[in-house]
Amino acid sequence: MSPEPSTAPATQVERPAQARSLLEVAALGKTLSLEGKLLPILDGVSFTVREDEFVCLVGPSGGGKSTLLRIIGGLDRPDAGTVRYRDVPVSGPHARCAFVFQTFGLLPWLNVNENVELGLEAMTLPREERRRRAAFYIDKVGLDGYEEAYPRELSSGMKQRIGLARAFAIEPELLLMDEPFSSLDALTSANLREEVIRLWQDGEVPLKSVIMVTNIIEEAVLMADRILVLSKRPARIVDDIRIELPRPRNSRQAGFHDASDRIFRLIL
Amino acid sequence: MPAAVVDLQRMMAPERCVDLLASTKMEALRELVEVLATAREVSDKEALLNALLGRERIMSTGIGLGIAVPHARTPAVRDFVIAVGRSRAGLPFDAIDDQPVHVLVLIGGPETEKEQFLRVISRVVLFLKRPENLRKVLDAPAPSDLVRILSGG
Amino acid sequence: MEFIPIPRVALGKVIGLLEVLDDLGGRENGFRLAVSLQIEFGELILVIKAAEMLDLVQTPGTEVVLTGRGKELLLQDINGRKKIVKRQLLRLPTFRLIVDILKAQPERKMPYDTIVDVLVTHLPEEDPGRLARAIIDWGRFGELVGYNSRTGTVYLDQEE
Repeated sequence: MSPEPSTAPATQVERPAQARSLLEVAALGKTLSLEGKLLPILDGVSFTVREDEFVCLVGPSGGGKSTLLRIIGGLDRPDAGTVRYRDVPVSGPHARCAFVFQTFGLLPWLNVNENVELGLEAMTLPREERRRRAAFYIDKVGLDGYEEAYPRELSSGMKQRIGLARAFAIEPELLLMDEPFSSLDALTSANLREEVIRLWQDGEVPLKSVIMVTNIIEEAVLMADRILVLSKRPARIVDDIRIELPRPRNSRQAGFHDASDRIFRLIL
Repeated sequence: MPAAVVDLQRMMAPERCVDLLASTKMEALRELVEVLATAREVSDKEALLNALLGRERIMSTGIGLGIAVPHARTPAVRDFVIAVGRSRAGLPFDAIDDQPVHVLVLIGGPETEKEQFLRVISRVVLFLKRPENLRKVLDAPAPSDLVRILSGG
Repeated sequence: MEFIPIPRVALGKVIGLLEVLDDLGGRENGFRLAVSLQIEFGELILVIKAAEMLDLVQTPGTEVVLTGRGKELLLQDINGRKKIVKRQLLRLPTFRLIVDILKAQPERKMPYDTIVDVLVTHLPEEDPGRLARAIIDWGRFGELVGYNSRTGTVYLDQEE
């Protein structure tokens, strides 16, 4: 049973009546088998994500957040409960979801352009469309000028941009990011965080919603409309906090620290 | 870059240091290549000259302060050679500061020695850019003194 | 002719520095920044130096302060930011050196090794390979130069 969504102290904003629901997770359960032992990792996880929402999942490390994300994206199956995307049960990977991982997942023998186009190969798109999309999103993530570069020539920030371009080129409605900035230094993260928000808000990009796992509470408060706080294993949702601070956000905004503190205490 | 690895003395010889008669850039380069004509390290002086000119076409090696360091890596050179020319009158060299050149240090290197070549150029330029060193080079009574001076003596 | 080396610092970090400063209200003490970002002070200095070279911050005393240009950059999307970076790069003599040489070539391109050669000639104290990579990296970001590592060719972006 998920608790009532609560609002961080900020300006009251009327939510538009019924933004359409994209994702419905109901009573999700998952047990892993490790060295012959059964490890319940998710238990009774329920929540809904609507269009135009940026949702962050926070919680203790090892608490099943990555597993939850993989189930949502169809890369893994639950042992209990259901995941429905636009009211259709998720039974495998689908083109409306794309992933961005912490380890960039690039092929070192392909250049930037080839790495981005790679993500499109599984889709049945004509070659011209693949090229157009690759070029469009390479430009959108700021990799214009690096098309022929190989990953070894690039900084980690640039490498993660390739991961972003690859995901965006699929033109998903829902982007699933698993700690996308955690292998980057603080400055590069500050840069990419802001650019991801811009991309999400970009009218030329069809992305509707994002679910991002993060271990950095301030990052969640900086980016999310809603923060789902998960408990320790077996994880369930202990709070669903709405962040209504206006964007672009900064840590000096009234209510920012209150929200961070509140979440921090929940995770302790 | 470790400059200590570079032994300029081995690349020089008293007869490879001259006071130039030339009055143009082209004449000076020819004159210096001619000075190396009998060097055992150089197998084809025309090829060396062409390679030097090729480098000048990219950008003049007149780096300012009256210094020029024409250089090239070429199969026509078996091992590193350095020739030095002085010009009291000064040569028009299309240098970066538009000033005439008074000291030319020609550096020829084997095609295969990329890293060492860069070290030699760096070492020579760093040496000459120090005013006291440039002074010593210009004031040395005989060009043959330049071997000792340039190798750090 | 004074050529200042380009530091080997990713421009993403420079922009990140601007973001962080903006978050803090536009200025912060350098030491405090290093501590709060958990970055080695030496590394942060390089990023600050790079930002200063591009006139995106100033460093009065021990403080790091966003310039008007830095603030302007933050208001742009990534492509607007690249345009500002490009403008700033063209003000740096070391960049002009390479751009002008490329412009003078018949096909506006040249081997990487030749760039290295020119750099060691005019900046003999620097590691020319490292400097070349820094120039190419910033040049690519600013969409000023391109580099094909397969053919080892550096070229000028067609718009120049």
